[in-house]
Amino acid sequence: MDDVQRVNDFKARIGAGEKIESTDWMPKEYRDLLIKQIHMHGISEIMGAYPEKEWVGKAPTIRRKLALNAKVQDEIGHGQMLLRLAEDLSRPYGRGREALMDDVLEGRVKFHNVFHLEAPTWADAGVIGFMVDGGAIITQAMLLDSSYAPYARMLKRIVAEESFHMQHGESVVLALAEGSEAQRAMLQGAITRWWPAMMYFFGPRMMGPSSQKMMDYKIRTMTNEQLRQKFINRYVPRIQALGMAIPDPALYQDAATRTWHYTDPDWEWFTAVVHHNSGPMSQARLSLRREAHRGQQWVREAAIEAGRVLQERGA
Amino acid sequence: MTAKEGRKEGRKEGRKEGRKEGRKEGRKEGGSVMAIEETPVYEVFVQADALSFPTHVGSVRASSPEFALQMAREAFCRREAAHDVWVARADAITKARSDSATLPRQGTDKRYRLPGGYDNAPHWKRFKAMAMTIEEVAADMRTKPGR
Ligand SMILES: [Fe+2]
Ligand SMILES: [Fe+2]
Repeated sequence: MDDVQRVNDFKARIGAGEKIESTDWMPKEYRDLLIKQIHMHGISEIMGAYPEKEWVGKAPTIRRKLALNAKVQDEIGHGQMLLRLAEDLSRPYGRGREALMDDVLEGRVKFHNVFHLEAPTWADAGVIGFMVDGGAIITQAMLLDSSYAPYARMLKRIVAEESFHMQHGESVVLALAEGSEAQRAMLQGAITRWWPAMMYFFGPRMMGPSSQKMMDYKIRTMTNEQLRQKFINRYVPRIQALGMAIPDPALYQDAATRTWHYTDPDWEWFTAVVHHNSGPMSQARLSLRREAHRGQQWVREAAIEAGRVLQERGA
Repeated sequence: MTAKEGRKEGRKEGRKEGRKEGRKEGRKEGGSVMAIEETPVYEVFVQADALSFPTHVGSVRASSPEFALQMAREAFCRREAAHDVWVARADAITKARSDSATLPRQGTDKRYRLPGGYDNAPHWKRFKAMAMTIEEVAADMRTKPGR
């Protein structure tokens, strides 16, 4: 058990807007919340590379191929940076990089609902950048002020790269919107597919106890609903300006409160997908990850072995 | 199946088997195969150009400083070129925060150490002369001599 006085002092530091470093003392509760958040974030970055990786080989032009390839590389990089942070936090539990990575393969850590879904057309590749990376930026911009300094610092870097993902996604979306009827229909199809997933993306209307605690510790500073409202407010006018329809007849903004009303996504279905990896692409993406992880095992071993040999020679 | 494909298959199978066993045994007996988390953490500092300070950007795990530099390039320098990259073993770094007595704190008024602590402009005015700022001096140094 943590000393009550120590915990209270820690909470006072957070209350005063102080930032926490990985080497600072922290209550177990704070550490566990951070591990949960950063582990899931890191793994989601890695799993997020797969829906678009599929499109690198099928991109319509060489420029698109280069850009998408760069994006996929960024996502894996984000995952590595975040797992490094999760690993530092997990030190007291003796859990390292391998264990944190195995967790996703063995279903002990979840990843974002959007990465369990299909990306059947080129428009999906664009809409993912436009809406999913755009949505992630909203969440991450909030986390830039997180009480855990290593996370906030790393997010500065990540957000700068995400902004390229969003711009590139928008560029694909705009090219399709300016294109033929068939291209516009393809874009509409992708928006229709991704909209409900984006309504789920920010989490339930009523936050669970651990999200609430993350607010108390200022790991995060806004509620799920506040984030979702920001997203809707930003995306509805843009999607409508493109002449595209949003697949929600109940969507409207209350003129007085400026609050958006929307149809709830199928909470139960999405929650089951995330908890049991039972979405249309969950198992396929996990097996790609498994293949990559096991397939590169010899590279990791060779790098470690080479380092050992070099050191022996140096000594 | 061609002979080539057959070899490929065989190699794959062989490797998979060998790897699994090698890894398990290696760990048990503390053999040559090390896990990634047993390699040291290197803190990474990127210096953008010759006149800027190397700035901490994050950390990597690697089995040697050379590998750490390669990892750092992949992780942190995919876009901008760097003037230099430093890696230092995390356990070789001592932080002032771990011993608060060594931490520089803003206790007493330190304005006397700063240019803003001296308000000379009204005094110069009295002498019908202009106050100087470091920005203005620096700008002056960039113009040709004699102007
Ligand atoms: Fe990312
Ligand atoms: Fe991204």
